Amino acid sequence: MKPSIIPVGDTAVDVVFENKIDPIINSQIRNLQSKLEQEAITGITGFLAAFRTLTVFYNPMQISWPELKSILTKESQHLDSALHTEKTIVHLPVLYGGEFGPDMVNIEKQSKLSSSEIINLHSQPQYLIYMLGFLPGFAYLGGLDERLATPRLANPRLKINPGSVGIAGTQTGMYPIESPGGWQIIGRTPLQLFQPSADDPFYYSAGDYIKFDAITVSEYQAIQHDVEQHQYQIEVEKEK
Amino acid sequence: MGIRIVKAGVLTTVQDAGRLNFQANGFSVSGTMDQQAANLANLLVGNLANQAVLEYSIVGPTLVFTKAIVFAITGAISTSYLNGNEIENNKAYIASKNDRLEIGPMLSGRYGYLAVSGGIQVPPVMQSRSTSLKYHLGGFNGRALVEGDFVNVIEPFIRVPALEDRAIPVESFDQDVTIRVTAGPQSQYFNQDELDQFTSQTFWVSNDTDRMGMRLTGNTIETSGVPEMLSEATVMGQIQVPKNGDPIVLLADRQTSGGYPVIAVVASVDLSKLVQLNPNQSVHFKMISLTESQQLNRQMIAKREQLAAKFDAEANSGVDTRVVARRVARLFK
Repeated sequence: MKPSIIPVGDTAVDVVFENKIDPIINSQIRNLQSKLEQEAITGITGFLAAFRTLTVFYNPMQISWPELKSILTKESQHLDSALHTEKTIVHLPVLYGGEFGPDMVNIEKQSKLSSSEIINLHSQPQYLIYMLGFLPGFAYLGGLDERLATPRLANPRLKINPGSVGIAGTQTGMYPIESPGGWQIIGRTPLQLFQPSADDPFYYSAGDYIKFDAITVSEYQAIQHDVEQHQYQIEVEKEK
Repeated sequence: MGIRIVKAGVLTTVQDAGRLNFQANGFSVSGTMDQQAANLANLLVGNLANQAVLEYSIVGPTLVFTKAIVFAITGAISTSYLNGNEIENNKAYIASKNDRLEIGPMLSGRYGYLAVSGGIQVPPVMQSRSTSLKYHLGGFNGRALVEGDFVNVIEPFIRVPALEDRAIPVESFDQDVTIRVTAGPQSQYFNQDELDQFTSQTFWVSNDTDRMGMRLTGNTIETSGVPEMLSEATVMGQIQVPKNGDPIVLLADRQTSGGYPVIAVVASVDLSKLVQLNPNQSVHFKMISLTESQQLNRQMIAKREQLAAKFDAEANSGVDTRVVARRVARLFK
């Protein structure tokens, strides 16, 4: 199915793909974005990649709508679903269970698995970031093992601590900042996932992969110390 | 060197063009609600159009300038005084050290702007001086101003060329306004009756309106024909229709992505008129083509550039280094 090109007001346009959550569609979106970025087209001011749309923001004083439309039509004709860019895998250390994972017991009940089996299943995949939204740095991840799917809490918490890692239905993800929410919290990362004063306030962007690495209490403390001293080096893997 | 706040007014915040480069990371854009009014205020005092200004709502602040400075107020209309003498909107004034500016309650319109020569100085956070009230970041310590705050100004200058000519007529705010819109990305899913109803009926601005969005009430719009949507990017002025059928216009502090169908998007040229609406005012929407919308936007920008050029030309009587610097800066923009 060829994507359609639909204006969103007079300074943005959606390139719209098939209406489903699908890693192939997501990689086509990313390939389109990186093609357009490489061409460095005057007048395009930004991109927002979502599940099935690439929104292109533009300045109509610098590029006309017919001109932009023809570029987008041409570039979205033959989109490869293969990844031409390197795969970026961002490793997030997580202390599972205990005080930081108060809902682990709910996942155990739902999945009939032990907590160590749950930790193994949760920390094995490379989760694709389909898009960021809802909160700064909040990633919509794909790839949760079906056995871990668990409905949200019946009574949402008023406060979820930053760094909390949770499960909601078939989704998993982490809270970069404090927020209310109904996710089942199974662990916490000692990393600060949102650093507003840094040149790059976020460790990851849409199209990257997240890999959770299970750590112990003493590792958590050591990493937390390094984070506070601004000495922590995040592990980012590049795969061709 | 700056501004001391004597009375805070309502929701007085530092804003600029917004945090444009982090929407894809899930961080709200923010920035001025009425960008046209803020741009105008900056041009009047000899700044670049997008420098940081103070935005206020409902009741303006009272403040004291701790150094001589040129200032202008634009946007919503209030009765304002400089040392007890009434002053006008859309006009540059010079204030001396310790002068007191009192901006009263808004008589019409909702958001007012104070620009000072040099621009408001706060440390940029994520490439912008805008205040994000939601995340307590940027602007002045991430919050609205309160009594006793001291706000810095970037090297204020006390002389702008042709001060008395730096004024433009104040446009009145109508009670019943028509806002031009283009078809939204999901308008195809609404049936023709719903679309006709959207552009023929009267909507009312609800009390539930803030910097994030404006809720409208009227006859509800049926969304049963719209398929379930996956979240996608939002834009300023998009009119989305949730299941209850009452449209919401998303504004400066909007969430970065949304999953409600967008029936129409406010034309850039009319955003200013829209955000200045107060609760209980009526509003109509008129559908125009994208070509027309962009044409109107171009005319608006051309008008602003003419104004900037006029102010600059008047400056040519004597060579002002600041004007030269500004021109050079523009070349590299």
